[in-house]
Amino acid sequence: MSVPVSQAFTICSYVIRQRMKGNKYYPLVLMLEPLFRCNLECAGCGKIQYPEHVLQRRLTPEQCFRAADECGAPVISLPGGEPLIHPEIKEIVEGLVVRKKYVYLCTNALLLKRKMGLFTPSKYLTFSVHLDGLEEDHDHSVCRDGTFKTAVEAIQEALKRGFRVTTNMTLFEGTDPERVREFFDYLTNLGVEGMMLSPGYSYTHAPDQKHFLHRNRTHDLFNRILANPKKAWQFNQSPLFLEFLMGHRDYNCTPWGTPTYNIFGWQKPCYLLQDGYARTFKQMIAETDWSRYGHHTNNPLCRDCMVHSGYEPTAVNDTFSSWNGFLRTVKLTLFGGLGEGYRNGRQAEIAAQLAASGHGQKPSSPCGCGCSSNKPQEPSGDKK
Amino acid sequence: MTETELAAVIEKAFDYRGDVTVDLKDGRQVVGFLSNRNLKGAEHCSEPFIELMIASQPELVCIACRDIVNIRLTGEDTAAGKSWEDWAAKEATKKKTQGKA
Repeated sequence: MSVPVSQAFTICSYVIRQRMKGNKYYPLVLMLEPLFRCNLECAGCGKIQYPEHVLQRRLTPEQCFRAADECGAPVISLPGGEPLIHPEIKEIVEGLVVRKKYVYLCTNALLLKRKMGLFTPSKYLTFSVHLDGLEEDHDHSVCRDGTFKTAVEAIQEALKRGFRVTTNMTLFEGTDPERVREFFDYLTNLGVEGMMLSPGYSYTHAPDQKHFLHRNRTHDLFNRILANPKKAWQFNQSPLFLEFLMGHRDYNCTPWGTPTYNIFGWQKPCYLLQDGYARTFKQMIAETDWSRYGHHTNNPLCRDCMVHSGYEPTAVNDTFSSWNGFLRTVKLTLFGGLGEGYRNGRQAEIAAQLAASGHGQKPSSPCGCGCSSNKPQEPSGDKK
Repeated sequence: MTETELAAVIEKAFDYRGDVTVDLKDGRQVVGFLSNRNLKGAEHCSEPFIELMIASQPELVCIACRDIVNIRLTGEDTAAGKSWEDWAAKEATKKKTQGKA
């Protein structure tokens, strides 16, 4: 397990409390975007496509604390934009840590080495560094050479100073599974606490046959990456979510599990789609027609989405809503076994089971490698 | 403009990644980024409204839909030419040029 026991316990007890209260719409991770401005300009990133006067705006520390208190999620992710650009990021992080929130500061790490001194190592603070692969792949993905080297140097320095460091990676169609496995070995040797994976999000294509293949290719890709995981690899996410990515589980989205707050307010319905904003968390929950979103609704915007922000909360909920889910999580966490269905040659059976449940499983692409020349957009919030 | 036409104009402006100009019935014009629209109304405004982020004002400005005559896409579209495909095409051209040189 790649999170401290205290963090796992906090999340566990929080989820159990919410379930005992009968609260269906509880948030697990607050996506708190303190600004949109970034020091990278990744192609297709919707977060930075705003007029200059919008990019100049930032949430104040007080706004951040109010959002954290309002929604009550035990974990807070600070994406952006690049949060280290925020002149009051130190105050924001300190205030959240005082509230005993587990803070994941998501950064491209270009400024991390320089700004690390602002922070104090704590079990409540993790630097979640964006790395999309080995040097060539990552630099290509973020459209700037040298980014990988800078990020790795910062990771090494952060680890040396006693900070918790994880990585987050977005995988796109056309990713070479073997290179990803090499990348996992590299990160493991580097000493990061855990790795987080998510498939890239693409909804701009027409809802046609290709779309279904896209989801199926995602399963193929993750099976090839994770079917035979090395024991040393540590993932900073639910093992049930990883099984979902591999197509071994069928989940619907829990968009309210990772609510997003930024300079426009509380974003409806999720981190990726922007279908409007509400002034308060309560209003966002009450005003959103949740039946319109998620894979099972056949909403074309959601059909291919398998992104962690929507499906990881479902996996966590699964852990606590059935003995099967709970025991499976415990088994995978303590003893491994991820991908055993695939290794045992059950992939065809699993695909047939999912197809029988009516959720869009089609035969794999002929080569099965998930190859495609189209890189989908980053999972980073295009307007609807 | 009918209610349906206005709704379509609002939706287009909401999807736009640049500033817009809102023409109001009293003759005023408001320029800003249209960050939100709610055609059902909400707690802070019971009737259909839009919200604009205006460069000179710290708070979001709420405008009732019944006060709107038209919305024009007047600012630069910050998403134009910035897709992954655009970048990949530019890179390919760059490499080709470098190859020739």
